Amino acid sequence: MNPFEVLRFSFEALKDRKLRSTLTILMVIIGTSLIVSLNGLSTGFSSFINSTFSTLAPNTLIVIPGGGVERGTWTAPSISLDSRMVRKLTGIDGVKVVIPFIHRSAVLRSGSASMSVLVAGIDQTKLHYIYPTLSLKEGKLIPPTDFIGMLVGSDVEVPPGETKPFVRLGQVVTLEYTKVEEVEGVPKTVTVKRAFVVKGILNYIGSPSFINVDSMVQISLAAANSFFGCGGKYDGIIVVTKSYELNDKVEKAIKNIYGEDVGIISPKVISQTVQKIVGGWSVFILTVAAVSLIVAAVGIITTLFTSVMERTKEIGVLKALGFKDSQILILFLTEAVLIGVIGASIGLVVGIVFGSFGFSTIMGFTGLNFPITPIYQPENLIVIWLFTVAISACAGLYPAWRASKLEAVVALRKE
Amino acid sequence: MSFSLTTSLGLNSKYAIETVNLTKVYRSDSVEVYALVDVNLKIRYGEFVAIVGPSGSGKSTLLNLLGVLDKPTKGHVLIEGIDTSTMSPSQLAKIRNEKIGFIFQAYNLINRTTVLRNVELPAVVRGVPKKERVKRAMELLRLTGLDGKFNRKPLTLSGGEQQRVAIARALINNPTIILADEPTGNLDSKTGYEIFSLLRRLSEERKTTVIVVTHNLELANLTDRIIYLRDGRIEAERILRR
Repeated sequence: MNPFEVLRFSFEALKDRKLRSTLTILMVIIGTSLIVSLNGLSTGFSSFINSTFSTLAPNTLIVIPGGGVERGTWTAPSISLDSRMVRKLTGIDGVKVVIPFIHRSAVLRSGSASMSVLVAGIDQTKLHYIYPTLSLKEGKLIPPTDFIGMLVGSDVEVPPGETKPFVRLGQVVTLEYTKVEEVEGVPKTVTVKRAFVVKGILNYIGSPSFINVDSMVQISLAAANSFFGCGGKYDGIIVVTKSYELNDKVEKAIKNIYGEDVGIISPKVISQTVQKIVGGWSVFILTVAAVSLIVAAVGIITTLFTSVMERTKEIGVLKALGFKDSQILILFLTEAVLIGVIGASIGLVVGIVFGSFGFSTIMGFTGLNFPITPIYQPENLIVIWLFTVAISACAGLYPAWRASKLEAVVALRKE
Repeated sequence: MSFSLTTSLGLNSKYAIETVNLTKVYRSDSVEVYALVDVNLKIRYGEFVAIVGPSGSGKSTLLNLLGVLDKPTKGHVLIEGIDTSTMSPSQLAKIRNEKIGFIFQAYNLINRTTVLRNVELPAVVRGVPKKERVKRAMELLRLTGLDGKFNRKPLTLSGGEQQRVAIARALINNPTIILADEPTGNLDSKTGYEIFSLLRRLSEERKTTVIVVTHNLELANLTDRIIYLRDGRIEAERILRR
C-alpha cells in the first residue's frame, strides 16, 4: 500500500469524524501556539536584555554608598562619595576614568505640561566612556561649567505613544522637586524650582532601565549639586576601567579600600544574572506550555481509542480484505501523525501571530510600555514542529497497536 | 483419517479448497464447546457450494476457517493445495487478499467513501496501479449492474445494490474463492434470488469457487452442491449439478 493511499485513507477517516478530529486538532494547536509564542517572547526578551546592556560599555563599574536594609533594619550609608573618593579611585591601577554623578527624581515643566523625570548631574564630556553608542540628535552636550543647560533623552523630547514633542531645542523648561526642611525645628515641605534651557537632544539608544538615558534629563554635575543641594556629595561614581578583564581586579581594589562602605554594581554581571533568570523563567514557562501539549496528546489517545472502538467492525473487514496487522497499525498511526502535522502547522502560525500581535495588544490594554519584539528562530520553530508531531505519533502508538492486534473474527462479530 | 501431504499439497491441487480433520473448540473458563469436529471437505475449482444447517451448527465458524480469518484448533485448511496452518498472520493476510473474496450479510462496506473506492480497496492493498484498479472496479460494477453509481456513497443505495458492491469488491483481485456468509439475509426474496443468480453466473463464467452459507434452502437449490451441517459435523451432502 503506497504512502499516498495510506494518507488518503487516514485523512478520510479523520474527515468522517469531523467534530472530534477538529477538537483534537484544536488542542494540538493551542499547545503548539503556546510554546511558539512563549518561545518567541522569551527569545525576544533575551535579545532585548542583550541589546540594552550592550549600550553600556562593559568596562564600567558603578560605585554607590553602602548600607541599606540589613536584617530588617535600615543602615545609613557610613561613607560619603565626594571629590576625595574620586581622586582616590582615579589612582587605582587599571582605572581609566572616574565619573561622579548625582541622580534624583524631579518634575519637568514645559509650558502647561509636566512629566516626572530622572535628572542626572554628570560631566557630559565623559558620557561616551559609559555609552559608546550615544549620539546627539540636535544641539550640543552641556559643558561642566554650564549651570542652565539641559540635555534631554529621546523619550523626554517625544514621550512614548505621543506624536508631539514635549520639549524643543532652545526651549526654556522648569525643573522642580520637593524636599523636607526643618524650619525652627518643624519639618516643612519646600518646593525648589529652577529654569533650564534645552541645549541638546539625544538620539534613542535603548538603554537599560536602571540607567535609562532615553527617559532622563542631564545637567552639569555642578548644576545638579547646586539645584539639589548636595553639598559636594555624589549619589554614585562610575569607574571606567582600562579593559573589561580588569573589572574584577579594580572591584577588589575598591573593596580593599572601602570594604562594605560601598556597593559595586557591574552592568555586565547584572546582564548575565538577568539572562540567567530569564533563561530559568523561560524553561519554566515552556515546561508549562509543554504540559498543554501533553494534554493534547491525551486528547489524541482518547480520540483514536474511541475511533478504534467505533471502527472495530471496519478493522475486521479490512483484515478480511487482506490488510496486514502492520498496515492497520500504520493507518491509525497516520491519523495521529496527521492530527499532529495539521495541529503543529496551524499552531506555528497562530503562535507567531499571537506572539507578535496578541502580546502587544495586551500590553496596549494594560498601558505598559514594554518594547519587546518576539523573535522566532527557524531552528526553534522546526524543533517545536517536530516535537509536536513526535508527541502526536507517540500518542497514537497504543490505539494503533490495539487496532492492529484485534482478531478479525472477533472484530467482524462486533455490531 | 489418512492425510497424504504429497497428493494434497502443491499448486497443482485439483481442489480450490480442502479441509482435513478440521476442528474448532471454543474454550471459556473450564467449558469447551466443539463448534466443528473433524470436518473434511474438498471443493473443486469453479464449484458453487451451499452450506446449510440450523443456528449454532458451525456454518459461520467453518466459513471463517475456510477464509483463514480464524485458526483451527486441530486440522488443516488447504487453499489451492497449500496448507495454511503453518502460515504467519502476514502470509494469511496475503492469501485473504489475493485468493479469497468475502461477502457478508451486512455488506460491511465503508460508508464514508464512494462505491468505486470500496471496490478498489483490496486492489489498493495488493498494490495494483491506480489506473488499472479503477478500470477493473468500473468493469465489475458494470457487471454487477451498478453502472453510473460509481461515485455514490453506499448508504444512498438499496440493500441489494450494496450487496452488489460487496460482490464487486470481493471480485476485484480475481480470487479463486468467494466466501459468502448469509449474503441474502438482509434482502427481500426477489433481490435475494437476483444476488444468488449473480453468484451463480460468476461461478460459471469466471470459474470462481463460491461457497455460500445460507438458511434459505430454496436458494441453496441453485448451487451445485449442498452441505448439511449439524452440531459441528457434516451430516449430509447433496449434489445437484456436476
